[in-house]
Amino acid sequence: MTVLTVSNLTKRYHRGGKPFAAVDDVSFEIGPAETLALAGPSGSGKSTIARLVLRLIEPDAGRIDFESADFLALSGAALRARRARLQMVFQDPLAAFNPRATVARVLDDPLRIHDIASRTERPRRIAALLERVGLDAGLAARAIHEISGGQRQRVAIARAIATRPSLIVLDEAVSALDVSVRGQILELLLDLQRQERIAYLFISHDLGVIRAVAHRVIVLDAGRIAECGDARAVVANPQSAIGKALVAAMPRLNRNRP
Amino acid sequence: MTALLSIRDLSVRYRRDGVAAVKGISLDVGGGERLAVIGESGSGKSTLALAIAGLLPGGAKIGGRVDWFLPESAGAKASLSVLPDISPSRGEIGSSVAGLLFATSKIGEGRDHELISPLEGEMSGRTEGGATERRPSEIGIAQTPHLGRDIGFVFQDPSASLDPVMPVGKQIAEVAHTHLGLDWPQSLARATTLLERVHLPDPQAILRAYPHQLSGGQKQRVAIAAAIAAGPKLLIADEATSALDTIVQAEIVTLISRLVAEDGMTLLFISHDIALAAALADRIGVLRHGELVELGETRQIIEEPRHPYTRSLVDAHLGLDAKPLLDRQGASA
Repeated sequence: MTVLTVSNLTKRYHRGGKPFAAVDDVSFEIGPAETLALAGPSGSGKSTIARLVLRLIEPDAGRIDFESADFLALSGAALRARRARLQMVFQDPLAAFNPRATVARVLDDPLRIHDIASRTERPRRIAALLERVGLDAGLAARAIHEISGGQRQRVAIARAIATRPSLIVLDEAVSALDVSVRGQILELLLDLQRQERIAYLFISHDLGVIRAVAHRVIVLDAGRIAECGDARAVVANPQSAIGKALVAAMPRLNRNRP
Repeated sequence: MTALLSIRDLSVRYRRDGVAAVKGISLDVGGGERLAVIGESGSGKSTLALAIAGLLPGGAKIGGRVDWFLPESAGAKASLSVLPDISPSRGEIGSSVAGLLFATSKIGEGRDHELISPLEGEMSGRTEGGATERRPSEIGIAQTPHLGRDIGFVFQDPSASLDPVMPVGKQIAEVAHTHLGLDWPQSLARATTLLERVHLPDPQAILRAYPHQLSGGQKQRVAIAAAIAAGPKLLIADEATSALDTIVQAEIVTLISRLVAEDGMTLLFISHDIALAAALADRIGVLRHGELVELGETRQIIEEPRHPYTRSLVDAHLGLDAKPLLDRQGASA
């Protein structure tokens, strides 16, 4: 059983008057509580795949099955209902939220929109969500712009899990964080995955991070899958040219200086 | 190794009542060395770089001193004119003198008050005539560093540091024209050579290209070409590869490394990435909350960090040989 099955997904854009495929015939699947990483250089199609899966943009060809339903065929109320099960966390939570909104407001929205908790029950749910992501419930009254970047990303994760999703798309979700905070956020994501059986589509340019948290990895090059396999095996022994280039480009702490 | 610059007890505050962004930093940068300064967000690493380059905004309160030891020949064309800013995004004309105290053998002679006062007053990085007028005339020009001529600065975002409506060749040539006194044909010829040196394909075409026609990596190569156009003694790279993907980052690091070696430049490499710093630097300084908590040879910092914070940075690095978090937690799909 899979949570997400993507088949022959293609998205074309025009560049300089000529069509090119940002995503070209890509197929993959993600199981429950599995982390599938997408790696690749800029322009390889990682974020386009994320946006297609989230239906922020529509593909030119291909099929997306989410929780055994034809996700591309859904619309209206059925799509909204299904979207509760498919959440997202982006790189910059300050850009994702209204900066003047309070933390409580940001967490209240999904609970209200998806009719998860009544008005009287919601403050308690918000407090529980904050605690679940390691934040003090007292943070609820603070504005998004007042809290630190790490706290903001925890709020983004709290909002993502508010609707009990089966899949969260994490698009460079830890890339802008300081390394000390990054470690804590990755631990939180792994903990949530274990407890709630959430699957992650984990997009990152950093093979070190991917190797640390992902079960499998797809290496993309110019919109196509260059290779795919166990995350550690691929990083240890990449087969594709782009996989080899990505591994070679990783800065290493213990290197022999030339 | 003779010092190129010597920083003593440098402190910077952006607001009168604000916390010091940088406090009590003392540091010597040797001529020809590659020094990396690493730290997390808010550690003061960019403030330190901007202070050295004289690019701090007006209103910043600066304490301490930065002494330069530039060779006399560096002052060949010590233009007192306004310098072209290599970073229009900052919206200001950089004067490398503003806000810094340059001690030389000629300081003294009852000018102490004049020299110290800038540290207390409002130093404006954007006074056009003011900065040059304020420069104490008795200070030897050779010891007065100019951004662009003596200091090359490469910022994180090349889209913001290049003028979007000027061909990139002209932006590079302008630096050579201003600081080396070359005429325009000579300056453009130098720009072409520089585009070759930063390994851009078809320099003749790139010369006439606008920034939006180039990729992020290509733009950063152009910014590097502009930064080194006047043959600076010091190249400051402030998170210069952070916005680039891993492969392009590695190429740019290799390029910087090669240019620094070929031209005998001193490198100040500002980064949040300890592994990147280790790959490039002879020494690494670690900043935390505005303080220099540790400074040492790269090998010592990485293998035998003395400060607990340095150790935590080394430990937090997720390298390709680190134990996966998945294993540490014992979780599996």
